[in-house]
Amino acid sequence: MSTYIGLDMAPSAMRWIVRDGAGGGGEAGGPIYGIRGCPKHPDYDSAVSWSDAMAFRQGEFEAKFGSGIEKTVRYELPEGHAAEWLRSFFQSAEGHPAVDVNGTIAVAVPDHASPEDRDDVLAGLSATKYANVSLIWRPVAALLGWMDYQKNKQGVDLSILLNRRIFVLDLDAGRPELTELACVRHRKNRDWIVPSRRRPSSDTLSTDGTFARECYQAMLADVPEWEQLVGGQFYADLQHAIEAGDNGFEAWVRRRGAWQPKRVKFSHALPNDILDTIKPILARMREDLNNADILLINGWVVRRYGEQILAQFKTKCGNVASISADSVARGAALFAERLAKGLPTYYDRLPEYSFWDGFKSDWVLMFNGEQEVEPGREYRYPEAGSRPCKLKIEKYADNVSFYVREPTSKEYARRIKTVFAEFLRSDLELSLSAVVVPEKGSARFVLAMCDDKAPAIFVSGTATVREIVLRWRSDDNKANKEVSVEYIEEHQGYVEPQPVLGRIYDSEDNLRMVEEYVKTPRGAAFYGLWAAYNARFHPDARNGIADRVGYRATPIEPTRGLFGTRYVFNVRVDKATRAFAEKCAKEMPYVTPSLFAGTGSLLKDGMLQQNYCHCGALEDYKNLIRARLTNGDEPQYNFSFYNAAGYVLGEDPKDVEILLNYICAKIHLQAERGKLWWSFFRMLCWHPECKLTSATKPLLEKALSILCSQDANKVVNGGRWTFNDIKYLLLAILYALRIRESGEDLSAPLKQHLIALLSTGLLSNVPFPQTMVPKVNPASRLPGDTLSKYVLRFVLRQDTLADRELGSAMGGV
Amino acid sequence: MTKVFHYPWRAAVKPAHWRLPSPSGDVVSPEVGAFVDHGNGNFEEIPGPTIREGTGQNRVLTKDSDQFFYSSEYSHQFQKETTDSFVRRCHFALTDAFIWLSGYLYRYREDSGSPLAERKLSDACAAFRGYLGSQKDFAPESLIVEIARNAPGAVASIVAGPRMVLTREHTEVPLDKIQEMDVSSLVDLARRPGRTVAMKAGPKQRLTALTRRETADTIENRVVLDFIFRSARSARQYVDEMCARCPRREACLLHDPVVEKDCPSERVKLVAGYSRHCAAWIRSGAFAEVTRLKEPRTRPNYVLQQNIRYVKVWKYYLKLLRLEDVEEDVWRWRRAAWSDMAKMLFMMVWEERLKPHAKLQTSRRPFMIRSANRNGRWFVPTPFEDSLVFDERGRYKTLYILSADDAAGLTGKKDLLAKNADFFIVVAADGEFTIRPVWAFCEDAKTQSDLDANSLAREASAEINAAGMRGLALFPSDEKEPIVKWTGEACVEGLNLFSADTNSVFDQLENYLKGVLS
Repeated sequence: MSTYIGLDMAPSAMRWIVRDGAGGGGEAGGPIYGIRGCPKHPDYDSAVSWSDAMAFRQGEFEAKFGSGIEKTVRYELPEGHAAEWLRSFFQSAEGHPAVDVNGTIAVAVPDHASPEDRDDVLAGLSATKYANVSLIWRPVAALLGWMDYQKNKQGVDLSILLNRRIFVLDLDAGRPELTELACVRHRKNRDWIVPSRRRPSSDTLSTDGTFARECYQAMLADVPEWEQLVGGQFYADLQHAIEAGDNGFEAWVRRRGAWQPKRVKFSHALPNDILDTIKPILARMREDLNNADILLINGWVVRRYGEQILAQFKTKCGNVASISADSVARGAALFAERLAKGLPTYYDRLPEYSFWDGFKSDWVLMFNGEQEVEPGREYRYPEAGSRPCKLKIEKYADNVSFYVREPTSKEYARRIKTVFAEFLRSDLELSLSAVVVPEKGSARFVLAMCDDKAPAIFVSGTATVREIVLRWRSDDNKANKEVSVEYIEEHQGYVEPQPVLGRIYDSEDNLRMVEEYVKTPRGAAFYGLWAAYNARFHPDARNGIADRVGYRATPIEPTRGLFGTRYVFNVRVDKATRAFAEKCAKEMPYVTPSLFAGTGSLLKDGMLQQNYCHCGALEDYKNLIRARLTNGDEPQYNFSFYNAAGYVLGEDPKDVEILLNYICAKIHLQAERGKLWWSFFRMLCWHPECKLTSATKPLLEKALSILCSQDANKVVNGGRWTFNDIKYLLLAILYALRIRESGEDLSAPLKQHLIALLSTGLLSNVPFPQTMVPKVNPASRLPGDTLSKYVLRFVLRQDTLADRELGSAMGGV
Repeated sequence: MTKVFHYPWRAAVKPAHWRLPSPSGDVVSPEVGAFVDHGNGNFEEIPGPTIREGTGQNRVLTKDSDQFFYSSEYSHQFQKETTDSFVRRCHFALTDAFIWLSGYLYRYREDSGSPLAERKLSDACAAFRGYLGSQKDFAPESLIVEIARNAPGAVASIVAGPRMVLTREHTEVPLDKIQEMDVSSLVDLARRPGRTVAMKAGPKQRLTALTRRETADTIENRVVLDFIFRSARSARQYVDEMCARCPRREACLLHDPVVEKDCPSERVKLVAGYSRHCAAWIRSGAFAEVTRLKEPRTRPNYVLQQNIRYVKVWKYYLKLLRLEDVEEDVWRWRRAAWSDMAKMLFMMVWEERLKPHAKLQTSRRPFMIRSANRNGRWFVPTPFEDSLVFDERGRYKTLYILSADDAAGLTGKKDLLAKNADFFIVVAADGEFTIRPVWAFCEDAKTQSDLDANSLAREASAEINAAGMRGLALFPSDEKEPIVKWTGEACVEGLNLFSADTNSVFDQLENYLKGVLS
């Protein structure tokens, strides 16, 4: 006969109930007091777990005797270790119940358990022979257990619970939790009355485990070594004495290394300090309860002091009761049995997963948390019959990522990313769906190709597939190295770099144009060749670079945007790019004296042509720029030189230092300063390998100080050659914040200076540049937003995900 | 100033005992373990020689803290011949013991199917006590015993019919016998003087042609031959060691366990018999044309992996090679291995003699040992349990056995680290601490030839006492009678792990601990 187990893993004790399905109440197991976490053993590189408090753990001495103060380390069941602990518990020879391998196990988890915590519990048991494991919320299990007791032992008609709010205050969940539930008739089986979880506990009641410690401290007020008793080797004795209602117990405490026996007494009267501890909880509950509600309280402190504590809650609610110690386990066992038999269990809310829609710049809810659902089946997004959720991936992309979040999760959001087998040759549509099972852990997401004819792009092991499953936890994606899960903060404080592809990839004609030019002997006009291809090589937005360039290629600058800063290792393109750069270098001199940008024959400006080759520029040209910057050269009226660093340098991590040194040294330059800042911004924008670290921080701050004090004035008031450069100063500030990637930040005085400059100074009220048209819904942008306010948000670390997406779009030009 | 010293307690002894390294190198016998003090409170243990090389050198990089960015190399020279048979016996016994212990834990984990399964300290102690010596067989279980028990069948079947291959050879063959020729034969034919084949065949009428010859000189047979030689050597060593320990050593007439009627050890007989088999296999001629391997073969071929007769031999061959590697490793760090043994002995006394009489046991700890040694050390740094509390007529005393760091943390005395002890015995009572450092050392082979064990113990205890230290130093001994020498409150004990009465070792240690407690 199959068995059904309910497991209650409270930090103070573990209890379980085994039901054999024959209708009996079930055989109780435990309690095992003082469940311990599972610290990793440093020499074994694996988790070593114990099931009793007496087990000696490596490192305990350091914790106990560090800094000369004798104390005891308290081990709560930490996330990440629950898996190992459960595995060892079920595999150990003693302490675990005799159960049927094919039976169902339900583990009660607190309301505040995040998807990772829940996954952890399931992962722990998945390694054992017990395959049918589900989770149930502790408050729901407590209510189920209480309802079962009322019905079967007290003979209460459960219909009296309908249309009433039932609150469960769980003081044994690691931190106090107040959950609102209700009893409702099952939609299909009308004679069944089941719990419905209405409002999970929020963090306003308590955010940590200090409540339990304060209770212990109050009870052991006469014991100076109370911390040793709570969570030490003899914690089980303490907890047993408390729960048995004893007046005290024989404890052992240690003073200066020597253990001594000590008689610890408890009073039957409720210590005042416990009342003081409960008062904040009562105050936070004030708005929730009214006289008609039912309040059930689970916790050892309530079971011990009974009416003395319950009376405090009766001031807020007319019907208050304490539930028995095994209610949670009993309810979990009931749930396991009913789930296995297909009987009504309870109603729950779906976790409110949402994903980020880049175009709408907003989160899109996948599952409606208001909808009441029953455990035992999968819930899908989008639902069957509704429109699929599609993501459009532009050509040349080599990966896809999407942001997803879940409210109870500890971090703001996650970016789940998967890399393609190769970069896309054309735009691609993918469909995104999600599946969640309420009593199981986190959701799983599925990306699938919409076009059946396109070749498979996802990587799974050694094969390419058309559909890929992505898990919430990075550990669950380990089998597929192409998938990564990254935690995202709400306010990141910087924009990520965005390398760009050249238009040479747009069409075969672009590539052939370059190849034809390379073959043409000296003197043949590039202009003429370009004109020949002009009909097909139409430089408007439709044929723009995959990175969404906004400007048009012109006869004067036909190669602008033709080459990019991103390598995709296309042999033919690489060869053509190199040949082009060599031919330009051969036919056009690098240094052209008296050449103003925008005048004269740009087609003869060798530096400009090399610049437009971006990462394809010749190495000797790059080295020349590095050398000239290092030597402090100042070629007059040659803006191509000052822009060169931004175009062609950045792959070597030292390039940014060379440029910053130059910026700091050449304060006397005028119109050139704007170009230098353009180079700085582009270097950081186009090259992920270009990083700002703690080593470059002093130099960076010096340069930014000069920007604030002098360059802003030069650029804003500099006249014809500088008016277009204002936005580059702002973007330079924006990308300078990439120093935050390495964990550093700008100093407070500099930040204040920047804030003043952006909010009320010379760089305030600068609008968004027209040419940098982001592909986001304009309606999603804040009304009245300007580039200055935008950059200011980043400086203040008030940026949002929408801001960062906008920045990536702008910077990718 | 960098200093080198033997015997671990000399870290805290007068500098007179320290030796300055000479630029040309210093001749030492560091199989006992020497220490280098880099001047910053860190003592670095120097490894000893390997057993496979003859004269060897050991270089240790030393930094002179008085001078900035200056470093020099300090080289030891040592000779394998300085070690005597007792030292080698003790070393192999130590290695065997720890290999057995780590195998004990990992076998349990494999059998239970869980990587987290652990043995209790009490189980480990009981099993190790059985390993050290039982009433039935004083010779412990070892890899060579397992080989002697399981391998002969496989080896014998190979010797009876080793796998043969046909090799192609170019030989002079009579004309009427030629069956096959290849390019080389034709080239040879073309080069011969003469116009016709008969003329080219010469007076003997022979030409170079291809012949095929059966030979046993294959890779797998070379491995088998190497295995026979290695296992025979290992078997001889085992028999020699065990005979030296045999309780009937004086009464033994023939000194041959195979024929000795009253040989008390079945294992020794088995291994001795196996050694004879090895000699017979080599003499049998089955491997006469098999060439010897110049170095061990660790990469198997298909036959070694798949042939049912050869697979078993291959597995034992690998185990033998690994054992030799481990032995060499532990040989270099003999003092460290002995230190671990001292810890194991104390844990056994703690578990079997003290715990039953303790008022309170404050913690439990599973038995943890590494699967492979690290610089001679098998145990994790602090294998000891927390503490035991004893009640002496209402006065409670707490006994700890701690590592140096933990002892310094418990007592607040940072100078304990300077004593360079392997571990500390600490008793806490009435706000006071009683501290006894414990050092493990091996006899220096040179001194061993000059001093007997009793004299060594006396001199060492005097040295420790003269330094104002109270502590215990332990060394391995092969004396029948227990060796315990006191000078003041310093004690040095020689422990014979393999004596007929294994309890005597535990009695010695228990008496010392009780003395500290009282």
